[in-house]
Amino acid sequence: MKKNLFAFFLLLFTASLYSQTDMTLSGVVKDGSNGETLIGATVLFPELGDGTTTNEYGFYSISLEGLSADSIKVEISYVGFNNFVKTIPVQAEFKLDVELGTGVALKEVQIKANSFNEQMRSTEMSVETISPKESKMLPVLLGESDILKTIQLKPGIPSGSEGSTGLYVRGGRSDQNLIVLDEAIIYNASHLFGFFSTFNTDAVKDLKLYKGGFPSQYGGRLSSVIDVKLKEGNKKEFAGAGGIGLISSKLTLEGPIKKDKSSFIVSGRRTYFDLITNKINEQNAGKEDATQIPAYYFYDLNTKINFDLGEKDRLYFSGYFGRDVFGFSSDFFDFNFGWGNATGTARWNHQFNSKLFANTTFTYSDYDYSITNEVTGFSFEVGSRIKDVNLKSDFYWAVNNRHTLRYGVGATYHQFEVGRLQAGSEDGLISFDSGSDFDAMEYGAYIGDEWDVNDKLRVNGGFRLSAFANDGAFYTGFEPRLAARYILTDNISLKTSYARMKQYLHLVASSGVSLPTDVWYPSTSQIEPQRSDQVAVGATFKLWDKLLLTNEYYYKWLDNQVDFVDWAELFANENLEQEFAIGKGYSYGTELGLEKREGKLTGWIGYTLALTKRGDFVPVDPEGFFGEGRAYFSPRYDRRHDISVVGMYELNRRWSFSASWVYGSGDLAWLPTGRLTFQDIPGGNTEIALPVYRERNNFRLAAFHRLDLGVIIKFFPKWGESDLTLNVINAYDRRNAFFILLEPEFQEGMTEEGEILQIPERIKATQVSLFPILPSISWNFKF
Amino acid sequence: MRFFAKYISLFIAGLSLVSCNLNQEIEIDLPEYTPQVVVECYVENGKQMQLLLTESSSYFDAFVLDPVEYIAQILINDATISINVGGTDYEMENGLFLDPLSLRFNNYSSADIIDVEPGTEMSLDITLADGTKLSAQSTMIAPFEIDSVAVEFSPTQPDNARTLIFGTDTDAEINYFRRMLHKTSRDSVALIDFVASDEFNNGDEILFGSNYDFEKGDTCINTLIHITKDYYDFYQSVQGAAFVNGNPFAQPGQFISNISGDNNPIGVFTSISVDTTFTIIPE
Repeated sequence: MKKNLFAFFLLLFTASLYSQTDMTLSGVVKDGSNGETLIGATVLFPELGDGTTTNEYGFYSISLEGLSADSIKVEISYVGFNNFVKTIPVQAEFKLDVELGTGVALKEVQIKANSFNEQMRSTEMSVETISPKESKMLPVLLGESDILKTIQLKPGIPSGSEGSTGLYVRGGRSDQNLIVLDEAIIYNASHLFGFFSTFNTDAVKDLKLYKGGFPSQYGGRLSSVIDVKLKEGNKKEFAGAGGIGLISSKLTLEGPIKKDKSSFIVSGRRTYFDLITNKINEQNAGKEDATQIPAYYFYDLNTKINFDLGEKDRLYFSGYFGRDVFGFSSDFFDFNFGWGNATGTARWNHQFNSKLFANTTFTYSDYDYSITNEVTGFSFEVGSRIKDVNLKSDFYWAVNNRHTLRYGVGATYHQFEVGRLQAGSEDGLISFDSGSDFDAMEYGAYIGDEWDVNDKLRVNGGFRLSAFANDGAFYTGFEPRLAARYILTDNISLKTSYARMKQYLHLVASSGVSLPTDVWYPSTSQIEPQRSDQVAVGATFKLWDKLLLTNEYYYKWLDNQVDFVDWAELFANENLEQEFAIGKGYSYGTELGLEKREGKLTGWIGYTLALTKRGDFVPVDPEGFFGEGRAYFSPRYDRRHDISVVGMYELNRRWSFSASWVYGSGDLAWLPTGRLTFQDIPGGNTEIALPVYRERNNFRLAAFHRLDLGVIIKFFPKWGESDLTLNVINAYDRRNAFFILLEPEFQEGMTEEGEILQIPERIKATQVSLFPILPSISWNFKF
Repeated sequence: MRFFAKYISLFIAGLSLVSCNLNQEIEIDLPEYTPQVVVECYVENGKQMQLLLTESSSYFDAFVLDPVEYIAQILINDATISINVGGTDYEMENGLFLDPLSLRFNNYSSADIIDVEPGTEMSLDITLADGTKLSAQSTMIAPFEIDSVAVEFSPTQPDNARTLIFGTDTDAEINYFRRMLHKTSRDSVALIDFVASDEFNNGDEILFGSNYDFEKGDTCINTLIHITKDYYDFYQSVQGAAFVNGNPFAQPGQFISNISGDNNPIGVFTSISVDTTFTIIPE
């Protein structure tokens, strides 16, 4: 099988080297101001109506057949840039590298038509994008621009709890999102327990989120793919950008190593939460009722360098290192908790000829957490880690004017250290350790063909073969992918897609809240890979060339879903898989989006109506207990309605305004319906009102809604540009529920002997919110 | 996980201290709840068998403020209860039986003192006044004694001491324990109270330590209770339910009960073997 597969891909490779067409136009499209390649730029032959877009490396190739003219006009465009128009001679191969400029604005309508037209023509559906520029304009918590949080404003991407960066896409769990930064997997994309993401917007070039219709090059997660590309660095001149905010400062430096040939970018950010809390602790020192606040900070560092090695080869090296550091100590203990990601990517782009482009990537990913605590004479250390090394090659072959093939192979070596615990006393009397290690291999090979059947119908079909080996267990997966687009009229296109996904890694996290201590666990002989099948149908409408209306309907089947038995011990447990319960799920819904991309006023309105259920859970351990047995239940983030209204208005060069309003059905909470008195044995603690939990997620919190406002005032000093960004989060001071606290209220009584008794009177329910109205200000600059 | 959640909660609580009051009382409308029967029965060699049979109530029901009335309200009386130990049936008498030392009470008791071999099978049968039947099974647990107690003074704070208790695990089976530590009196709130297994060091010496919480002259009361797997599971779920309420980082769950019968009874029928040592911290 392996031999046949190899021969198949070799055939594809060699065939692409020798095929012929009448004319092939290829090249790379870049931003003229800094030399950054442009992803998704449109290359169009207006006389023929044929066109293509640049891939994720800025490369494009298009073949035309049966041309009778000696020359042909080509138009290259990208939102926010001037169109490039040129008439080129018709010849077998023509290379056209283009740098788009922003000098003279074109008529608005031309640009709008292009960006919408490409979305109408593409087979891609269930895709959301957001640019760093949009992300910076939108109001965010404490002024900390966060591209992963702002994309949650798009339809169909409900977030978790307030402030959380966790994504629950189309009924999926937060661990079912494949998050890649320059193709290296980020295993925990959040800082501060989910309030901020690991992505420093200043260093990000592009973010694309797939909710369904996954192209065959992606695999390994069920519910979404979030593909983040870092900037490459300015190839023209040295430049910098930075900002000072309420909780963090950041600085980005970039410039050419050799002008137009190579460049670098370094971007760093650090919070100063710890400085604030240390000050509060100092002020509270000595006060009896004062609670010491633990010290906390996080930082990120992104770097990238790239080299053009002639016309056909480019090399990229990029890295990310980020860590959260949490410390709490007193005279009696010293508690330290750190977690973070480190990634490295080395990429080689090679253009074999005008039709065949290849990218070979080596990535390294490392996520770990470590907790240490020293109490007088006793210490313990617990931690987990997942490390990946991946090598893959991806090929992009513009076969002819009807077919564009993408294919590739890759392999990943995973190394897991799960729940490593070491504890002991200084005198050596107490000493124990636990934990398990795994080494696993994951393989993938794929092919996808984008086939223009005729002028109206385009089909993108393919499949992915995946495999996973761990400790004697070996799984394979056949993952068909299919997407089709039919242009009904100039203003209406219909789309449909189907995708099967397999997921071989599982996040051990029982609570709905994502924590840094959540552990990645491989598929084993007892825990089979998760699987999803998703179908979607939709339509895209272009309204008066100004607005784009999209409407999609989806249904997703989920198999081998992971949950955990009641009261599972997920921390430092050597037999962790005995705590798993395996079940099923399904999700369906519709998403509606109306978007305006150009002009002074831009923004979108999104609405999602959805339903998700999970159930049929069976514990891996026959003695395990999963309450409510196999009944289906709504997961915590089964959000029935989700609305977002986002507007950005650029009044002039100096002033711009933004607003976003979100509304969502409340999250579900699992609250106790009964209470009992638990007396316990002598010496134990009697519980007068021990909560009794029955049906899962039996209470829906109040609906969530919030208005955020932002103003950006730009200044233009001689040395560059700066701005003041003013944000008001939760402008009308809505108290959204973070969780519900249930506690008995007591009244004082007295025994016959005169002893004071605390007698329970009633159970009080308190809704705890996180954020009141929160204004913030930050100063940003660039030069 | 709980200690971790504690620190995180503390951090969030700290943040909330510097912001305004973000809590508000709300009305909760929960699904209707059918009260469940609750059983607590801990059989111990050398002691009378006693059982507490109560009924749970809706979570938001108002409490009866008078303690006597409250107890009367939760007790289920007039049930027919028998416990079979090694083939002998013991009928339980209904009443109110208060242990003046531990201030524990039960509403069913047998006058017989149990003394059977470890591994002896036991079963519980309950028939409520309305005909509802409940049952449970267990076995008599083997004794597990504390071999020795050591007192150690802190190297940095010489006035503070801790105790270490040692035991020997002689069998290949996984043992389950409940470990308690009290200062001065077992009626006080335990300094340490948790359940554990010897899964990680099965077949070796068992050792439980403590913090340097004691001063010279203090009485340390170390209790090691050998428990069944059923009790271990049940008590973990009890501790979990007590801890999870209102903690956004914790996951609730149902009680892992070994009582079966109609209307989802909750509770535990188990044997225990208790060993307690009293140690006075030397001057």
